[in-house]
Amino acid sequence: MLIIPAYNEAKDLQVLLPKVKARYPEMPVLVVDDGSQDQTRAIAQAQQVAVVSHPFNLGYGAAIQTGYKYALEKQCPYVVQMDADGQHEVEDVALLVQPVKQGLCDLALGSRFLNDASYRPAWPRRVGIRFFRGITKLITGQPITDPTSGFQAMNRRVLQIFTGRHFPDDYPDADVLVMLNFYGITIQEIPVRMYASTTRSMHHGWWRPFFYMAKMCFSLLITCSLKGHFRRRRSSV
Amino acid sequence: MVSIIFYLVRKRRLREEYALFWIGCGILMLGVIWFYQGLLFVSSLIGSVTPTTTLFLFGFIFVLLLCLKISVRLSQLKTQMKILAQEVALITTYKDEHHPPEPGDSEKPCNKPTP
Repeated sequence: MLIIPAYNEAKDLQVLLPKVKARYPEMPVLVVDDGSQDQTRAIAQAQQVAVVSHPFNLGYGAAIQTGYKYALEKQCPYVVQMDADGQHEVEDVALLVQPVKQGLCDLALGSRFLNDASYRPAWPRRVGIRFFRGITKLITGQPITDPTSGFQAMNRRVLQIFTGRHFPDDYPDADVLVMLNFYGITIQEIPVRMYASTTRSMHHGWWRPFFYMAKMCFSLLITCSLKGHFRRRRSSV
Repeated sequence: MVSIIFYLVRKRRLREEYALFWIGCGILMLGVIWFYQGLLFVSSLIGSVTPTTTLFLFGFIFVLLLCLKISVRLSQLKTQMKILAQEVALITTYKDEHHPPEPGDSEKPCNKPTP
């Protein structure tokens, strides 16, 4: 199943959904409409894909988690998540699913830094990514080049963890990867193409990047303090 | 203070449990005024020069703890609201998948939003 969280992305979905349907006609697609005020829901329904609509805006993390809950209920063996804003390349969905399907890893993480064709983010974002790349490596010992990537494929083990109460409502990034490492989940990075987003970033507003950095550092601290808790639950997932 | 609390409870803008808490606070403040010697004793215990300082100190600690308690409650409510909204969204989708809404369903009186 392909999960696409969307908030006021009617225009982008109009372009993305036909591409997805043409390239992967057999793959079930779910659009999670996170309380949009535009035609997001109507556009998705017109493309005959499943739509779950939040009654109001809950945030990116909560929207993607609703998608995981839906996929778990529908007993999907694999799930791919991609953004609606045209940042992720539809062709690369197959690349991400492949290692998860073959059992080589539990989570395949699309990395823009392993593919030369990808865009390079603006320097403040690059600094942030490098910072969390360093911290993630320090905690887990595993080099992850793109810890902020939202282009991922996962199996049911990961879905079970992501539908739990420790999944963040706002920005699931490096803290989630560290949590997965504590659970004993295997992560593999796959080179993918990423393009600059056509819509405004969630980090718009001068204070947002600072808030994001502070919040993520705190989340990492909390996740590390729960290391024992996650390790004890390894056998249950 | 008591009359404001009464007014808010009558208008259903404040729940009884919180009203009782604020009435309790009012009684505590009255108690402090009534037993002024007690306040003087506590001031000498903590080494404050005037009883007003003691009142402000305990008042400040009390308000700080109250803010923390409200933040915890707010976080709980936000989590509950998120789960509830997700459940509503998922149940609506499952329902629509089993019984797709027919054209014009939104015009039926049972589906009209209540004013």
